[in-house]
Amino acid sequence: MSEPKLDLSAIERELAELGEDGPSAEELALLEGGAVEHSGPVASVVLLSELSQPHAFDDLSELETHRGWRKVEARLGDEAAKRAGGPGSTEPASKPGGAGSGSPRRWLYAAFGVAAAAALTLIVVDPNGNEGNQGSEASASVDAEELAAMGKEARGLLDAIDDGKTDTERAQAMLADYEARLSPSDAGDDNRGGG
Amino acid sequence: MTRRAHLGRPWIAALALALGLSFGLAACTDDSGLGEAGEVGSELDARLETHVVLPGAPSAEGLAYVRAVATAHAKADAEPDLGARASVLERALEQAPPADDGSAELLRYNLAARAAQTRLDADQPERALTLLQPLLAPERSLPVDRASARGLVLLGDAAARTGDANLAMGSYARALEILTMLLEEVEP
Repeated sequence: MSEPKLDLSAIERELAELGEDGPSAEELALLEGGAVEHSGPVASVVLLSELSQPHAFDDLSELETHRGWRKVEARLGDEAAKRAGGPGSTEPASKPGGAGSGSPRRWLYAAFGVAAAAALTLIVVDPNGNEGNQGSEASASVDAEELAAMGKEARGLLDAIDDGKTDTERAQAMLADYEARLSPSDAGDDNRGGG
Repeated sequence: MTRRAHLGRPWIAALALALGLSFGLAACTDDSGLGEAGEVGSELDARLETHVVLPGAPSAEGLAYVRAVATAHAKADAEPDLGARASVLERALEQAPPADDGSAELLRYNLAARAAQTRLDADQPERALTLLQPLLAPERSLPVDRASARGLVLLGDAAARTGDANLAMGSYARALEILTMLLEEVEP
């Protein structure tokens, strides 16, 4: 493939229109050598910008935006790994704080994704134009066996994130935590009971 | 202070449509393929509004509530009869948690879930529905927590046992969505 040729006059003209000085000799050398595209910070910004394009976060909540950017970070890590390992590399990069790589929960996510997809496909789309799963206007038909399978999947996932405590133990732990968070004087007042 | 991040979920419908088309599993709306469970019940409603719960500032009122719930659980443990145990838990449910207290809010969802589970164990799914439906109504914002997901799963179980397949389906779908959020959020 042929690299697009640098139009230095166009660059100088655009810089002049912006009120900037023309490119220095060092900058010209970088441009001509193509080194800018491969410099870490520039490449990261360009890539992050490219990756974020499909994600319109304008109408998302704080939590959804956070999750969206985590996905972008994960994709950025994958891209970085590919670059570091060459075209044939499939090993993901080390991504501190990123979702995915090497996590023992990955299989759980994959299994859950399949289960959730299967569950959601049960929601019916009305051919007359009413979209399934849109509030109380939706209509649906449900197969009893599929419903049972969906319930089983939901219970399985619920069990997967169970902390192993009974409700009583959980409530007692929360009570202890609450008492610790409340200032001792307040707790003392509350417990004094007039005696 | 309890932080609320409301999450509208209009994309579920699009996802369901895409998945249905992709896998060819979406059912038709004529009656020919209806299973037994599909013939009864309310309309499907899988709306989900959620908020993130933070512990909030502790208060004497909150402490009294948390203590009352903990005491109710302990009393329920000592009650061998399912009906009597459920009554102990339901009496505690009558007490409202203080506003903007995330700890108390989550305790309330767990309390309701246990009460409903006890009713289900006592073969009283209608009573379980009565307990859970107001708390988990689609128009209410639910905390992103295992407690609300648990309640939705139990609501689905109770609805399935009373023959309301659409309520069961909607409840399971909402539970699965909350569980998805939880699984994604716990990933470091």
